[in-house]
Amino acid sequence: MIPTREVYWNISNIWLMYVLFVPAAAAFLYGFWRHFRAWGATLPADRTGRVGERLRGFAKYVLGQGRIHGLGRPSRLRHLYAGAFHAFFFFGLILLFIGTLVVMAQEDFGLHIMQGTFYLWFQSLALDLAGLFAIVGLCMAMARRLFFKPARLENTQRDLFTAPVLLVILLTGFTLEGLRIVATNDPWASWSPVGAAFGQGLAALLSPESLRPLHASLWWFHLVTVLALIAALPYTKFRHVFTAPLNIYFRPLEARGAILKPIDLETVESFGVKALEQFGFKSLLDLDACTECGRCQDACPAYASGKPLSPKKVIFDLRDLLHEKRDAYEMAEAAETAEAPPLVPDLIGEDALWACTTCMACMEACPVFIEHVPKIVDMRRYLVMEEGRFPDTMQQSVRSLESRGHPFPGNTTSRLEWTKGLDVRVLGEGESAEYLYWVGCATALNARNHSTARALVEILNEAKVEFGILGEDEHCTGDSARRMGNEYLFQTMAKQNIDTLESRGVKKIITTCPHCLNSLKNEYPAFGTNYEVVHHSQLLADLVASGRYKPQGDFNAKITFHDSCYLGRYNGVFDEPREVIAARSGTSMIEMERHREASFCCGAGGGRFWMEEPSEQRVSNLRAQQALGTGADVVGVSCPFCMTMMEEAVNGQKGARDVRVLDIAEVLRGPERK
Amino acid sequence: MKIVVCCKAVPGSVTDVAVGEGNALTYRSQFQAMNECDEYAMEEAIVLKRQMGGEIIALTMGGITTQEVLYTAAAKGADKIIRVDAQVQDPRAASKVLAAALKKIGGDLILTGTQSRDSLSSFVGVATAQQLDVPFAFAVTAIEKDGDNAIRVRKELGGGRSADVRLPLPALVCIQTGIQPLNYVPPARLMRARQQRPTSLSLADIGLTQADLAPRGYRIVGVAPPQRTRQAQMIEGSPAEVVTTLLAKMKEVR
Repeated sequence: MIPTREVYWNISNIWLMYVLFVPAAAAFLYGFWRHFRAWGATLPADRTGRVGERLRGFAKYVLGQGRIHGLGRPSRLRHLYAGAFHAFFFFGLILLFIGTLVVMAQEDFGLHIMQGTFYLWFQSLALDLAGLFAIVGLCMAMARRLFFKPARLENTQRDLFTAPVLLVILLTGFTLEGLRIVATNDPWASWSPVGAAFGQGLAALLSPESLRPLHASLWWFHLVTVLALIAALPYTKFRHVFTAPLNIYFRPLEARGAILKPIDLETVESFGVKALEQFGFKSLLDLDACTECGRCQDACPAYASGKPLSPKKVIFDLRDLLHEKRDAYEMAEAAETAEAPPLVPDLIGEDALWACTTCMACMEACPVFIEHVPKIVDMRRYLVMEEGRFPDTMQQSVRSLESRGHPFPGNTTSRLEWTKGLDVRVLGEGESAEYLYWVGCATALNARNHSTARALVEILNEAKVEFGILGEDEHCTGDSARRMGNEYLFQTMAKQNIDTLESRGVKKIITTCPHCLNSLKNEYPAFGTNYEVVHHSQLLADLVASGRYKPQGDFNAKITFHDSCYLGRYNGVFDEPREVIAARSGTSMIEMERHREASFCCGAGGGRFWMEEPSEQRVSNLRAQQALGTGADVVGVSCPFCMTMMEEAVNGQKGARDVRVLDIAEVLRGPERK
Repeated sequence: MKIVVCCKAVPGSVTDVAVGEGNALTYRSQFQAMNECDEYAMEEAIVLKRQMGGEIIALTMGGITTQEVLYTAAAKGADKIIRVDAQVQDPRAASKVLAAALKKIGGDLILTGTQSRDSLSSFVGVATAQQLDVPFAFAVTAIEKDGDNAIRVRKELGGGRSADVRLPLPALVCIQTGIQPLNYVPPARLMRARQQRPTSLSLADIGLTQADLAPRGYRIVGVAPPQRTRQAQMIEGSPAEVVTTLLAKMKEVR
């Protein structure tokens, strides 16, 4: 006898199933059609190319669940419990879906595949185990919501219904299988261990003659529940089953630092995003892809420091508005009139919008590649460029950028002051060197950072690296202006700087500031440049590895290293600063829990450096606590802004302890040298 | 009411300066901005126009690059923008040019700043009023209408005092900083303002010649940064040592 089972055993009037399927499918298709229509039809060009890379990412992040479990990422970004239960029901339900397709192939297409070895191994054993794993996963998920209750989860009534629906479908499925096995005395029952166990249990409880009628009625119940789930998919959180993979497919592939796109100032009629409709396809798809996991909020330094910003809430609020508008069929008309109420401050408060440090922790944490930061910058662009509405202290910094080419109001330091007594060549027009050292305003104009530049220059001279600086002809790259939403000012500064760089024939650039690095490396190419830009940590790591620079003497210190957002998350430079620290003999490294990709911002990015805030709301104070908590005697930094923020916060909190904040160049050269 | 605001284009940074050709100061800064005091005058003009109606004319003088400040003025709310094509550094010559241009333009109320960031002479506004033969007030912190043909202004006096003064129109008022909050000019408005063409007046248009602009009676010999007097002492050492030394020094002084 060939192993198999009778499909639709004990069920009559099977035609009714096909009839019931029609409204479910219609509701499903209609629901998704409405979503698609609301997202807008035009796919931006930068999200359609590089198909191979997109598919590889799809394999890694959808099939491989890469960011859900976060295996191989820093501990703050690893979620083993959630990763396990999601994988259990993700793969369990996919296998069960394939099992259903097998039944369809057998019954509706006459392919007799549901028999023999395949029937026993796949259709019986594998699917039984798949169902079991899915049930275990769902129970773990429900336990998390009922007992562990992580603060980042919403836990509304709606959320409490999601897992039980699937659980009901799975449990009735096993009950049906068990009833059939017992009633037909299935000879291959041992290949369906879970179903058989259900059968044994039911047989002990029920009379033999009640098995068949119970089976028939439960079968229809099971079917209706499944069809209801299909119909409900686009209208509930289940929609992420489709929207999340789509969002992962269309994820940004450019360097993280190039994610803010230039506005074409000549042709665009209005700047930034005032109303929801002005967001593009991927930005709106983002909203429907959100699974409400709350990991962005957990990662957000603004939220952690008690500011009125939660990246999760931004997405929720925008999504709810999207649904409201979509339901009212307003999208098309509103886009034309642009008379919709402004998103800021009607939906998102100005305080929340300006609280973002653009540190990218939210985007790093998001398992489905939602892009929070570009949306925030788009809304800032509208406020600044169209209305000139932004915080006073930021305005002062922007005025200084406009009139003096640096963002520090009132600062009259010469850009050459730090070079006194050092051998540094200032490149005039037409002069060039192998490397240009782009000092950066925060290094050149802030006395504390002069010793970073001096340490670096001494090392470069000793290692015989040929370099020059621009001196007074260097101006801000425009990084902070861009992140404050002032794209116009950013582009003005970029073009001016590019002229200066071209006049010196610059090919290779060293920066001490990760913000300068990011602009020069990732943002200026949009204006036709192609410089090789390295951060001093990268060059120093190279010089040490190749033996061109040999650190002198011991520096006995326990060092914890604070990853700068713009060096780390933005540019993927994590190892080199640590290599530089390790190259100095006597040092030992202690990592903070939040390090590398999971690093916690110092609070200076996105224009926040120029905001005044009460001590208890300072991101830098939280970071300083984390750094001091390691017991280190040196907090290593690699960014002049981090230096200012961290030094102030560490000094304020270290008490009697002797803790210093040092740049990696100072660590390598020796902080005792002046 | 026809309000004319005189706005000077000043270098972004005034620290890097040298005596250049023709006995004039040359600034290295690549940036030009509207002189801050004049920006306050512009903000006050906008408020006055809102209250009393009329038009605002922004007036500057200098080379083609100084038009930037006129665009800023237009973006802020100036209805008309005018540039006198004349390179002037000497304050007396500047007042001559302004007075000649203002005679041609007319105006009920002329606003200037109290001083410019680069030359700090505080001379041009008052001298212009004198040449126009109109009443003026210096360091004004408030303006209000007083009847149909006059204004009442509050001007600063020494020692933190102030005086209320009634001026018949036309009049010239030198605006003190802080009279209104400065509003940031949104780039979108600035870009739209750039579509406007400023009216350009040559020296001949206002009845002057290049000879009228030469500085008289003085010559700039040199420019020097502030001298370091080495009066400041940096106290070195641990925080405890620093405090001990500091306390000792304070006792010494007492």
